[in-house]
Amino acid sequence: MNFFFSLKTKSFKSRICIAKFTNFGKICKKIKLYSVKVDNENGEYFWNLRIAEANQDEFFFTVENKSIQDNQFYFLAKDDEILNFNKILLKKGISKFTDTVPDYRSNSRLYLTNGPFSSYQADYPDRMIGAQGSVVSSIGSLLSDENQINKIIFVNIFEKPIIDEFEFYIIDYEKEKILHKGNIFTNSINEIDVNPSWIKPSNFLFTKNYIGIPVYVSSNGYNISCEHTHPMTEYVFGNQKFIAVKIFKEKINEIVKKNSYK
Amino acid sequence: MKLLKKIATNNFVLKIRNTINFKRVPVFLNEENNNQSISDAFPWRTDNGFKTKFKFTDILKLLFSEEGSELEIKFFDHKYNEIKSIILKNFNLTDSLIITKDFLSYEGYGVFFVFHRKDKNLNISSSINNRCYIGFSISNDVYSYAHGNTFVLGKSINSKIDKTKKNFVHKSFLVNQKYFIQNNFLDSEKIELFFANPLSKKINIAINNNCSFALNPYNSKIISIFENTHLIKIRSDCTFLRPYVFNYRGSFIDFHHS
Repeated sequence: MNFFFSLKTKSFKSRICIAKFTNFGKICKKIKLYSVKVDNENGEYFWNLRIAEANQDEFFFTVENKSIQDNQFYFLAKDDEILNFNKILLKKGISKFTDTVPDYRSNSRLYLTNGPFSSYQADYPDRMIGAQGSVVSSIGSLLSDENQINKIIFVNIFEKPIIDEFEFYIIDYEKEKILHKGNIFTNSINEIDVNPSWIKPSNFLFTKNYIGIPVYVSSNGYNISCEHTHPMTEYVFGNQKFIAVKIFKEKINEIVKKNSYK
Repeated sequence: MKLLKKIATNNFVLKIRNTINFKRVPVFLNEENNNQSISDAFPWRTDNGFKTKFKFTDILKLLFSEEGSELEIKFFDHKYNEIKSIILKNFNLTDSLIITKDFLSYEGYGVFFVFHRKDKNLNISSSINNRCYIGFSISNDVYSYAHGNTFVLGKSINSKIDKTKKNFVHKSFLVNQKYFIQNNFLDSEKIELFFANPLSKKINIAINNNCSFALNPYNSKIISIFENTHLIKIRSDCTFLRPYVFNYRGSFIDFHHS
């Protein structure tokens, strides 16, 4: 099952379009769009489930910016499937409808207030929500120091309804230095400001303890671009897929351990 | 069991399975592809004011600590005529290449392939897949990016072995492989779909039941779809055909894979 997310942050507006059909054309007219976010009642945290506030037609749900709450996520489910929902622990496989190959994706659009937008076909597979680990992502791949605005929107969905703080680093891999250290949160759509001096070929974003999807946003003030980076495992197919990436991440971890933030 | 698996993944049997939608295998990679550098058919455009930017990672250095590797990049026009071939050396860990009509001495569009290579056997029990990023800019504006989409051609990482592997994606006997783009295009002024045939065989494509065409091996084609298109439905006899989308609104474009 896939979750979907907006790219709405303090700096950007967003819109999500979620199809009622799979990419091989199977349509489910009874499917509903739900939203979840972490909520708190009397000190107890839980997943607050609602029918999403969305426009809909025969083929699509559309969630406009004004209807998107902070740190809200979405998924599709039928009436009988939603009975699988648990407000204490976000479960995998609530619905089978979005279990497809290729992946079932929404169109997540990000836009500046003056109109230009950029979008990408986005999804957050439920196999990620129970995982803890680290993310390594190249900063130089999708940003440009020629543009005025460069940001990373880091999306995390974790199964427990917690807003847990975790560290991220900007690492110079070749010089083995930490350029910046900061904190982001679980079950959040985090916005990281990127200093243009970080946009270099050997610099990487590294997160500790939690995984997620980094979406890179670059704008000259008139137009905008956004795209996510692949997990490094996508570059390798075969026996060494996970070992090669593990070794690389261990090297990054060593850099973090032997350096202190300046 | 091994024999059964061999039969079940035989090309002819895969074609039957994909045609009748029985345990479809749209893309097939196995250990025979080890030590290969596998590339997508990345789109490029230099027509109508377009510039293309390819952003790539030195995968052999980053993940296998191999210094001094090269990048072979081969450019083809939309009819798969080779336009240019280059070998990049001494590049950064992540680097980029800007493709303009001056660079190619060609105004138009087509595909290019990227192969990582070294001058020796590395004995990697895996393949390297280049799924790097392609961006498009019109009138010198911000580049809009998408990542690589599929697996089209493979070459040995050992540059002394000049053998190309192909057809990781498959065909079906009928034009019944459906792909519906999961996006609503009603507010678009114009959409262009960039198709690239990932196979060494001709494929047939139909869009929304009112536009159909054939595409020769590794050929590419841009189809324009104008406003008031709600839904884009693609049928073909290719098991994994996902066009790239150029979505125009005013003076800017949003480029993404479908």
